[in-house]
Amino acid sequence: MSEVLAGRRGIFAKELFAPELPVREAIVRAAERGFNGLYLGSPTSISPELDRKELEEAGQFAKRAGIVPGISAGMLNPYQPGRSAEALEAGGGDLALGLLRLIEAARWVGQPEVMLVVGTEYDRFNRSLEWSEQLSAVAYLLRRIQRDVRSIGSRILIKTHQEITSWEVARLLDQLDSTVFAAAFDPVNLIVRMESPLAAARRLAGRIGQVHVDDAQLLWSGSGLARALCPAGSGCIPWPELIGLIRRSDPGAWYWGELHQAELVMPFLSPGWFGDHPDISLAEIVSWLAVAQPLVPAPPSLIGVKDERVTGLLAFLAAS
Amino acid sequence: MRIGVDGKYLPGGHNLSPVEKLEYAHSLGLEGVFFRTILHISPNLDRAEIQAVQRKAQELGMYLEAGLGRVNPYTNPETPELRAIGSGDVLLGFRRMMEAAAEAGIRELWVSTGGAKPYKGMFATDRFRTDVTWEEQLEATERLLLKLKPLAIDLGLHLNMETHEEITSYEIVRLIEAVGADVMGVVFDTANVMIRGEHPVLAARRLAPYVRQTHIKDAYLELTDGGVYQRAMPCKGEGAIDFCEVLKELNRYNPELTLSFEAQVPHGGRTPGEPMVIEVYDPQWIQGHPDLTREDLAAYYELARNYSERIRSGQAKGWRALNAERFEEEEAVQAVIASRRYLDGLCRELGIQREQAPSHV
Repeated sequence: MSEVLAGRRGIFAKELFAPELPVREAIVRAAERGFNGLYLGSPTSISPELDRKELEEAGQFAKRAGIVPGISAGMLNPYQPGRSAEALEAGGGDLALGLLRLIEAARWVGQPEVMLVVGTEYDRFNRSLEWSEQLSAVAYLLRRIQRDVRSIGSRILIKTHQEITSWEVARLLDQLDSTVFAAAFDPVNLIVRMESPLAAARRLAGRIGQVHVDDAQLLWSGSGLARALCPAGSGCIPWPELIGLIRRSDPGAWYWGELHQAELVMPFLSPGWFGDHPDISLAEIVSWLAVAQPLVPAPPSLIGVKDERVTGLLAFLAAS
Repeated sequence: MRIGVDGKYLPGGHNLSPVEKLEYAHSLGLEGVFFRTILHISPNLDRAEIQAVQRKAQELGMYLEAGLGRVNPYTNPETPELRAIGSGDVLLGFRRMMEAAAEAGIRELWVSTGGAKPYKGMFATDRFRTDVTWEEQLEATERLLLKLKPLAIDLGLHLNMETHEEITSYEIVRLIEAVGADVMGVVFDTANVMIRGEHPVLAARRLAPYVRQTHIKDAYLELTDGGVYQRAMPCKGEGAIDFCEVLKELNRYNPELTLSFEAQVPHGGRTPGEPMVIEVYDPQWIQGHPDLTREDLAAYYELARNYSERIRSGQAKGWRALNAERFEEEEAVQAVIASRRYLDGLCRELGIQREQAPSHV
């Protein structure tokens, strides 16, 4: 494992450090722990004004410390602009411009790849607005900015977040310049959409820019299954096979340990549930059920029990 | 509805003649006997023999049902008596059986696409045969049924396809649509449908317009590695099937339906092994069920999960505990009696009419 991930192993800062910890100190501590990267989130967490000099200096500091900074451009659903406050502010009200500014800021920090999240489960199940409509709007916006992103020399990684399936991400990527867009592969979210992580990795093979490392169990919730987050390696994500697959299809992908927070449910016995997931086959749903533990009672929430999960994540990602 | 028993597995009845079986079943409080095939009533279709059975049924006010046999040409040869009764001519054999049944006023005749095979896993039925596809077998079955159709019309018979272990409710509906509900119906086996991953209530709903005979039995279900354990159980309310809901569905279309228990075979001094596993997680199994929807499978999974939870919490016995229990002829007979009481209670609870009408004459 360690040789596979060598040089491309990072962790989200929020897992290790209090948010008040200055960025430079967090970077030093991450390096001390043997990580190659530290996910900082928005460029505004490094420089609230997106000051170029500040960002470049921080980037150089990280480089000297041997730490690659991970950057996110936030959420992008043109129908939910309230979630893209930072981009809107950076763009003076223009979402597309703001995204480009954040991406540029990431470039100054030395990070050419920027993660983007489409939305939340609320969007997928929004009864006032078709999910497909929202995805079209996302595609439209991304197509509009792709030339500029390319000229900046950057890439956008669309995250397989809780609301979106690997098919939907693949279809988005199909409509976009493949030199500019790829995926941030997060299997702990894909199981919320009932997917088999291995099958999803095959669907996005060749387009995986980074992988998010966490784990969860699938427990019974009364009308279906619930995602119960657990220490990495102790859940249903087939990490050894998954890494084996992705190292062949996407050898340059980075691996970021990230502890997810949302306790999500998959009430598949609810009428219409499967209709809301048109792409997934019976065969894949069955393979999803096969890794569930529907007789184990749901434990008390592990979200608050951070230490155990952090320890698990560190142990999982650490060199042998 | 009337409550009776399948004649092939009548506990304590194996050495009895058909007339004696009727008397014996009657003594157990049962209201009819469903002889699997008319050849069980009389191996040579002797009219005097058949009439004696018919008279006994009438005398006791019991329903009398029978059957023909396998109408799948790929499995028919496994029961050579069907060719023998036609002196080598299979179609003639069916004709002779149908005429004999009609003469005795038996209008509901069981048919099936096959029998259980002595192999585990995929080859426990004919569905996953490698020499001929299941689709091909269904096509051949349809062709044979269409050949039998004119005769069935003439004689006023219904050939009722059992929801046997190898066939799905979707496939049966398609067969009926192709052959005609005027001559074809269903023998609804309440537990067999789960072998094909179907929830009994959903299957009952789908088949209810066509159900004319039944095999009533409950089942043990348990989630396990590789799939779901299943084993037949007496219909006493201790298994996974919600008979209330099943009866409601059936009653909607056929309030005069006969409910015939398919009893469990005594252990014969041996301890049963592990229950059969329905390999629902196997991609090949899934591929072999193209009609099964995600909703179907979800309902079935919930059923298995809920019963597994009952086992875990001690509300239901696990299969090892069940194996350890004595189940010989005495217990098998008691199970039938208890089943009758249980089903009778359910019918009354649901307001399902329980008539004491005489048999089909």
